[in-house]
Amino acid sequence: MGGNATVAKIRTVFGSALTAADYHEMTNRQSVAELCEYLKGLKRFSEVLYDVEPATVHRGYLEQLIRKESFLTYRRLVKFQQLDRGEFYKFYIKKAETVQLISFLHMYEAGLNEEYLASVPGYMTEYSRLKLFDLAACHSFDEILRVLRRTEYYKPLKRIMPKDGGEPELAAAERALRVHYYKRVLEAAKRELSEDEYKEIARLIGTDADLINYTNAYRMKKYFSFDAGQIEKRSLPFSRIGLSKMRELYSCEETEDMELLMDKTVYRNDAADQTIESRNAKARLTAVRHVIEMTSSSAAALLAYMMICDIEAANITHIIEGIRYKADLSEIEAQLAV
Amino acid sequence: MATEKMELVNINGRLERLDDAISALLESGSFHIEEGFTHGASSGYKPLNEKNPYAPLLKRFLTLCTGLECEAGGGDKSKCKLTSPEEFEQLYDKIFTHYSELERKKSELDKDIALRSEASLQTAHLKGMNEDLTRLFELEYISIRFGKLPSDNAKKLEYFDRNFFFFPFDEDMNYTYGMYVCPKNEKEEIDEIFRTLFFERTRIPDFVKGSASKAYSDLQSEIEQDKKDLELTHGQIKEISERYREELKNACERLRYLKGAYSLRRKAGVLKDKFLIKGFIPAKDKDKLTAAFKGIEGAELTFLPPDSDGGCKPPTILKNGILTRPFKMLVGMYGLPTYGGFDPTAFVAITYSLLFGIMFGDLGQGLLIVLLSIPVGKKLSKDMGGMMLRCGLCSMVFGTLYGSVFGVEDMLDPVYENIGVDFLPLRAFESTNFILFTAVGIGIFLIAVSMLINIVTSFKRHDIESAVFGCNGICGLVFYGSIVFAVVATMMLDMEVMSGAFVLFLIVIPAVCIFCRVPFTILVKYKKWKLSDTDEKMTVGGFIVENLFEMFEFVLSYISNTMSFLRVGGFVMSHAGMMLVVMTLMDGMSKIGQPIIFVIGNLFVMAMEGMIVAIQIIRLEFYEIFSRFYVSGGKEYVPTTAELLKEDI
Repeated sequence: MGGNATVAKIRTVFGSALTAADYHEMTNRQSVAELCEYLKGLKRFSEVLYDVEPATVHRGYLEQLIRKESFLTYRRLVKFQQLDRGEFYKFYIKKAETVQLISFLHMYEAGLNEEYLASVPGYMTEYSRLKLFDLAACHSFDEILRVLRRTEYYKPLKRIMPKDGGEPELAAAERALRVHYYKRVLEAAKRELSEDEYKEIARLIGTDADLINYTNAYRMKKYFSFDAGQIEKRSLPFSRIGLSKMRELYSCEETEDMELLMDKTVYRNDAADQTIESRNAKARLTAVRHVIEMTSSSAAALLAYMMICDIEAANITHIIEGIRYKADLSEIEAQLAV
Repeated sequence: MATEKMELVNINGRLERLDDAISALLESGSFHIEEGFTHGASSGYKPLNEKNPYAPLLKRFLTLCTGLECEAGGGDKSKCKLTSPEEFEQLYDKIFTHYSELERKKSELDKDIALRSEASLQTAHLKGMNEDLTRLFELEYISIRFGKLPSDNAKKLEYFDRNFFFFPFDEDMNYTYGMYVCPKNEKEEIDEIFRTLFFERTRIPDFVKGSASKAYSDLQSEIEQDKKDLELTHGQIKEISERYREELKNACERLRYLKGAYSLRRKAGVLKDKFLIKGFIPAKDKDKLTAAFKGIEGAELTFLPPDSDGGCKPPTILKNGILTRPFKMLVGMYGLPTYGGFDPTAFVAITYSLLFGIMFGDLGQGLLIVLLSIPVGKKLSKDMGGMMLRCGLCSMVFGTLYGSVFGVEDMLDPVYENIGVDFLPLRAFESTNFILFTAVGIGIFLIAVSMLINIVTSFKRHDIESAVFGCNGICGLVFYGSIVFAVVATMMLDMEVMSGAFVLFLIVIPAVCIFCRVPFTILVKYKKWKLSDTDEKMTVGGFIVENLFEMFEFVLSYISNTMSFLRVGGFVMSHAGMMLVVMTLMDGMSKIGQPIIFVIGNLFVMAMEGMIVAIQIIRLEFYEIFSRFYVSGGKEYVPTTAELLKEDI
């Protein structure tokens, strides 16, 4: 499937990605209203924020609209050359569905079904075949499986159901959903794309998985002192730098050793005063930027660009939170991946 | 081709006369001011650190002008006799007292209109509801909330199994407007649910009464009344504005001047009760400055040679005649020459006009450029107009030689036949070789002249390396000239010139001199043998490698710079070719279409080719010619005048 024009288009929209100067401007705003005003002034968000009143907008809704813009950008890009006919190019919808299901499971476990209903982005219902609103009425795992009966998420969740009739662990369910997402994307890439394109996709997914695994492993080590086996059990079985290297990482005694080990890989990061999350987001950003600049594959370019959109949305969310809680400027900037 | 002669002026005096001295130098109109103090020195003249009292005053006056909707510019400062900040304060207070009451009334009305408009906007969304709003708010067991929520979230309401009703009234791109009703005792929980759904509540002000439609129409008539009152207030403000307009304008102008003049005090150096102002003045304006200072007691002017103060570099004024003056714009683009350096404006004026004429030779189109230069010079840029006039005239001259009038190549044939000139007109496609060889010949001549200029200016700067051993010095000129001569003689004149002596003395020895230009210069200047004047550790190997590359670059630049002039000939043919296309298109058209194509074709060629030729010549000037001799780095001459001070606002 030819997608050269899409690659060119992605590079063009990538040119208007948020810059360090934009973020600096944003972090200097005194209130969410001022930030919203600034975002309305940016061409990228002007349409989605068109009739939003900065003085009264709820910060949660603002965050949702920023994510909606990413979703609409994705739709525009895949529609440009009718690439959405291919299974692979539905990856962003699948990712959003996976995120929603994980979000639901977290809230379900905390008994916050109504809050989940409120948090579902309304635009998702137009593109997803999942009955996301129906999930809110579920009060047992069996009911959840019933709602998901005819979807691709049924099997991975059914597989982890304990034989004694109890409910599966939340971490296991989350892992199962993530593994399912990555597997489906890789399978579709193998089926529909060329060998070289598949390799690029596998590398991107490996990068994503490595950094998620590293962040989780770091937290598990730091806050729960988990051993290598426990960490690996909860990690995703994909990697760019190799699973053996990741195992080596999990078996580190201290988080400092983990950092030293990661610095010897492609994810080396010399930025000081940053949280582990922002350091990893920065490493992810570096990797995907390189792909966008170098690739000739529309699939790889799109996957990489959507990862950038997600990072930008996360950055804006950090800024909104920082402004809301009157955090120090340096504190907010330390959380950003720029 | 030199720069204007300058003099350094030191103005000393007693500190209390500093303002008078500043006024005098502003009056002279040609004083280029420098800092009169020394940075970082523990003793000597220090800068004056004082707040400008006129700056905040000017801001207040400008705000007042904006409020009164009168222009703050264009006044006459001489009509305002105020001087001290206190006098200006008094004037401000006088006008502001009249204005402030009306301003307060105006802002209250603005606020009221905004408030009622907002309420009206919200009420408009509720017009579908025919209930008395006051009654709804007074219900004992029921709570009602008006507002909007994202339409995406409105879809979710049916999934909540709670005790509330939502009534939508209106919808736009992102939001659904409406109200929800819930029992008062469950109000907190339901509010929380709606809050998570990003419901933005609208507070209906107390003054909104009755049904939504009635409230809406009441609000509209109140807004109308407020607008009428506002108009009345505007009228009263306008009256005040008319009364004080001139006085305000003049005061603003005077304040601008005083603020600017006061800011110049920062340039003065102060030592105890003495001040020092330093600066430059064109030597011819010396008497004018002396006359301006005549009445100032205790102020002393000292005129010194321009290079007598190591801390201040004299500024450069390009000195040019009327014919060449417009081209100083191009020289300025490249960078001003240093004071006393070579000003290439005249050289650029001649070469630019000639090259333009050669490359864009057309009698008719040249005439149009001449005519166009008049409005351009008057409306856009005087220099640009001047350049167009000169280039247009040259285009006309060469157009006559080519016999081209608006692209018609045979229009001048009868004229030449009548006067018996048989070698003209020079047709581009019949004399291709002649045109190309001539273009290269022009290039060789211009490069050689550039080298000569470099030799002369380098000797003036006592730069032996550049004047003698450099690739644009005597050795470079001999090397380049000999090779050109050898090529022309051998290939075109069938002469055998490449004798051993010719090669040794005119090619090899100059090449060796260029190769060893650094050690040779050191030898001549310091009678010492050193391979580098900057790198003490330079080895023979390093020296050879470095200079081999540089020699390669020099030789390459001789060839590429010479060949670059082929474009001059190329454009002669390109112009003829493009006009040929226009003529061919005309042939294929009807009799009505032909003049249209003729006019459009000529305009197109003029706009496109004219632009390209203008740019190409700038390229030739900057790369092929300037790079051989031009030393920029001069400082712009900025005379301190009252007009200039305005820009500091």
